[in-house]
Amino acid sequence: MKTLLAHTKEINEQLARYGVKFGIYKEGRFNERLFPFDPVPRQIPEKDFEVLEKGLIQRVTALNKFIYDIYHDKKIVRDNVVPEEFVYRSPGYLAQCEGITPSKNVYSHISGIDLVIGKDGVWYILEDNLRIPSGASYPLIARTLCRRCSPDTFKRHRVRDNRNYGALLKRTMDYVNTGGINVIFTPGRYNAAYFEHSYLAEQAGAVLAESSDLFVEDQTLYYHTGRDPVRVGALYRRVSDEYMDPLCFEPSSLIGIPNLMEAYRAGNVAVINAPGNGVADDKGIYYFVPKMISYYLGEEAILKNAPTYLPYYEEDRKYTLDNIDKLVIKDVAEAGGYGVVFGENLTQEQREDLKNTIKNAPRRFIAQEVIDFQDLPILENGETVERKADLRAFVLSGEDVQVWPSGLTRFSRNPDSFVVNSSQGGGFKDTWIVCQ
Amino acid sequence: MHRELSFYFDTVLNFSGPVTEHNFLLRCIPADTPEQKILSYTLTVFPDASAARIGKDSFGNFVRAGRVAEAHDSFRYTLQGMAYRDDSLRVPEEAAPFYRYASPLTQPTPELAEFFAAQSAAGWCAAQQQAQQFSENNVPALNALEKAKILCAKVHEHFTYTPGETNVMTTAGEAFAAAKGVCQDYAHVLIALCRMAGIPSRYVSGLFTGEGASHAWVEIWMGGLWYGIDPTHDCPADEKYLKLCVGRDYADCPIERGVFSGWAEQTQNVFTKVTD
Repeated sequence: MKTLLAHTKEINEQLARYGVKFGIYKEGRFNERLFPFDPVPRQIPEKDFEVLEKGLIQRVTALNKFIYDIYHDKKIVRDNVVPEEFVYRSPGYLAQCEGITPSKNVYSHISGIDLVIGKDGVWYILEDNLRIPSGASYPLIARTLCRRCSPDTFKRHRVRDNRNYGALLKRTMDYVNTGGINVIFTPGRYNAAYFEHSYLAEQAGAVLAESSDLFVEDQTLYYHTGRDPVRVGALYRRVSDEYMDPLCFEPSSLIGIPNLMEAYRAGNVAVINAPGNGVADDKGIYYFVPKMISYYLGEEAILKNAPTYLPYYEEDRKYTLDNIDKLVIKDVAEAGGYGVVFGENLTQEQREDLKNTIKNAPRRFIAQEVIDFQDLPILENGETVERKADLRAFVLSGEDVQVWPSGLTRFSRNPDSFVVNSSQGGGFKDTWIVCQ
Repeated sequence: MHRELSFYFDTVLNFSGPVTEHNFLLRCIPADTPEQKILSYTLTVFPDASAARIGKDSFGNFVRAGRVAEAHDSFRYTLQGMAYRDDSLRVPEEAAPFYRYASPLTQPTPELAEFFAAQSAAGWCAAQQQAQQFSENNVPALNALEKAKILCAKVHEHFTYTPGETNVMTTAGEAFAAAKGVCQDYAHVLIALCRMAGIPSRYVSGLFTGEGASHAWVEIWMGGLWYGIDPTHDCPADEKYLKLCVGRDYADCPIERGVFSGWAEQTQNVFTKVTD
């Protein structure tokens, strides 16, 4: 391990050279920032990972069934398990997707499930990301570089190889492919995750394309080659739903593919992940995931949600208002670490304001107990310090549902912060699944 | 009363210079339902774009997608045909739940909420009292259609029909605040109000008897049936109306939407003619 740690600087330099950067828009400006890598890996014993694996497969299986149900029969709403307005007022619900059945019935091909481990050793689900979760490429390339700098470390520690992510991705794409090539569709160079798009294309043997490289004719998606266009059978699009097709969604989008939805609706192309998935990873819907698991699978949820209250329900609202100083309040419409407020950090006045906002628009918020999660050691200027960290596990759904034996561990560099999102300035670690 | 409608709908887009890679999506093929049987129709598109496969969108509308890759400086589509309209032939159907919730262009605003509160309280009360005068028994509460008609009259009264003040992105709240607009704005405001009243409602794009441009109105759902009401004219949208497509609001069902490459100004000429 020592050799590995001694190479921190080199690894970070290599990452910078490969373009492992994180772009963010702030005040209308695009800034690129390096995504700092901490070489001390998060280690998860294989037997613990097996439990995680089972729980994640169960969760993603239920979420896939939920999305199908919402855009078809809506049984879970009719049976009053999920209140109707949580579905239809969710910004992620897209009426334009009603009745569409994607290839092989898979909606969330690549799910990024965020978890934390409590001081009690219990894993808690923080949120599900079923739209276009990013991040797998970071530990993937970091592992490759670490192995190069310090091959002995990986002889001494029995770590599950994570370099099969590209193969897993290819398998997922091939399974839903409707006939044609696999394409990774990027909004382009100025996207926050452009490095990832290009790296994954290389790893999965897919073509990296922008909107001008693709077109739809006769309900079929094609890739311009300069000679005869080639049909596209699976499109891993890294463009969000609203910008994906200017003739169906946001008309001003210049990064979309016109009539992509027509090709998708006709079943002539697999779109990865399916548009409309946002209805299932909404912070308001999160509360209902354990209920979905029992509703669709008849099983108890293996992995726990963080204790969550829905001010929508009177009892929960009362609890939230009475205990606001010890809860974290999340605005269901926000993502990326925005719209998250810790009650204890508020002034008396702000607290009262928030209470009133919750009273007036209870459906807009969820409240959660602050989980006392385990800190992880990180290296800072040669010293080891403890910081908050989470884990994004990647779950791939194709012929079967599989969990990538690794994951993205993000940590907060600010000792007082619980927010680990990359857009909020955090760093990352490799995640080792260690065989005993 | 049943009618046989003959319809003609012609749209020409002229571009100030050549455009390429023109992708479009048309929703001009009329709905074919028991109360609106399409006896015959033809749709011609020029320049003719690829194979014409007709699909259906998530709102049940016919869609005709296409792409013209080559340079062109005008685009035209022409629809003509015959329809048999008879609202007594409607068959009950369920209203999709999303027709009960505010959509992007029909989000409530404080002004709309205030207007709704005032109109619903006063308007419904007045209607009730009026009915009570002629009856010895207790008059039943107003049904959804009666409420919608009251709201329709109020919307009609609130607006001054003014072309050019609003555009296709104008929300119900913005149009309401300006109190000026066209059929689309009247429809959006009425839809917003009906949904506040818990009445499922939807936006309709279509044509109506006479010559001119395309039109928009509202359908509300009650007891399994959709009822057309036209806030621009404050009247029922009956058999004189020909429905092309529906959605939660305009953005779900524009009759024509297109994108192209090229620096060109676009002008549009629409001519419609419906006769019975």
